[in-house]
Amino acid sequence: MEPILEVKNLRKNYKDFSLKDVSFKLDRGYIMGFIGQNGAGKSTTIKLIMNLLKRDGGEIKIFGKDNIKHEIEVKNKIGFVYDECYFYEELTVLEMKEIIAPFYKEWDDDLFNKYIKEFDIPPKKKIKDLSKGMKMKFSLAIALSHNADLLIMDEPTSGLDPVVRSEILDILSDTIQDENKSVFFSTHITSDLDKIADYIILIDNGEIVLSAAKDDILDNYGLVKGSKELIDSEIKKNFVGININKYGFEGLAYNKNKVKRIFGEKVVIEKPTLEDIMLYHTRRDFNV
Amino acid sequence: MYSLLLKDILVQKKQFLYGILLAAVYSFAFSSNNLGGVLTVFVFPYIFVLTAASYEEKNKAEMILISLPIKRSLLVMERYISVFLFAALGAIEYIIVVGVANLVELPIKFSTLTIEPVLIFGLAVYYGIYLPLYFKFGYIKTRWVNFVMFFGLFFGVPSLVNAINKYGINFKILNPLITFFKNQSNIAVASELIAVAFLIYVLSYAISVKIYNSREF
Repeated sequence: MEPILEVKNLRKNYKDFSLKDVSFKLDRGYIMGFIGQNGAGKSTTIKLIMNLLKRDGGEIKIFGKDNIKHEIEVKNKIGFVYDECYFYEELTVLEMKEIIAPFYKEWDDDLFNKYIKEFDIPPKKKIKDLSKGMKMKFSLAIALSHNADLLIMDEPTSGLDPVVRSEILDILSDTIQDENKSVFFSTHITSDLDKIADYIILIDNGEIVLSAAKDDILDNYGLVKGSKELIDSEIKKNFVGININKYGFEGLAYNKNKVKRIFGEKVVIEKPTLEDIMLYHTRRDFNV
Repeated sequence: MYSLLLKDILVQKKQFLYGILLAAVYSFAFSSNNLGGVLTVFVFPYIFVLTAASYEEKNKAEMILISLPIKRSLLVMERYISVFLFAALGAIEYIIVVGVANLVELPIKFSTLTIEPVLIFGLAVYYGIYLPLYFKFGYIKTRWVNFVMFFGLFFGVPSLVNAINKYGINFKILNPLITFFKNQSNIAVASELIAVAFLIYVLSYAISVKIYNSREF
């Protein structure tokens, strides 16, 4: 079966920033976390997928179809949630729904009402009077009510309190119980992905620097701590990045088993978090 | 299309109350030259189309609208249609105001509404010029253009008409045009005006679609 989302050599040039040959693919039934610092190119990539920006090169295929040539068809099967509330704040929840619903072929009003009830969203309240968490849940209710196969989310959890974040992540996990659906989820809060992501892609300065299954990443990489005398230029080649201070070093190794063979008991090796993976890949001062 | 037009009405529901007040003031103030109705119909799109555009820009709602399964050309068309929708709503509010005033037999003279083809022509030319600029630069950046156009129109057109009346006969280029219109029936002139208005509007729409299709958000 073709990937639900496939991006090949995607390019976008600005004066001070470029997206450089971004490529990745997402299969049906998985959650892909798209991580990177602010300004790394996450939103640009998502806007290119949604045709809010025009690409300078490369290909984007959704359900095997070009995202621009088959724009209306593919967007009918995409649910989107953005980092901010872009709805008309002057309208009520129901009014906004009435405006959006007719554009989707498979809009399901019963499902929408079910989500509104489940999320405790007051339907007659104006959108401007909803809390940030409520607005995000309303976005999610809209995104989930038209039988979308692909959910595209751009930093949906940023600025939300931990309780709402956790609720949203649970909803996403439930969505994925249907093996035909996938979620593409950009964030800089990597702890969200520790819980739910199957795949991770890391973007830095417009380039994909890591793309792999989350479990493979967490199983293979190792966070190594030891005395700084152990580090020389040959040893450094085993590391993504090293932070050396007067007490010793801490570094992210590509292959923890190899490092274990080299150092034996002289170092401590821990399982890294996704935050460690992101930091060591992107912080220039940690570069080896 | 219906729901796109609906959003522009819903975001400014309360404004329709001010619209009634506006219709009443215009009707009373321009009763001597019977221009109240025409002005109301012209001013309504100015207020309502721009207010709708300002809410859209304030909320950055285009991010949502363009992410929905909607062709950008439909979003453009909605704006073009909304000009005449709001003009029609202006006419309706005006008729209601004058109707109620007549019903309660107010001892004040109100101007009655006559839809002149030149009004439709004026709306088509005005928004035919403004909307491509709006789709290129957005509402905030074109606010002043619109302001200048609007007041330029109100002060410029009467001066232009006066100038043509006074000197038109001396301009060789204008002479055949004046003769052309003078020799035709009113209905023929009206149809020609409407046809030209329609052409301008369609051409302007095509330009706006081209501009909006390449716009980035």
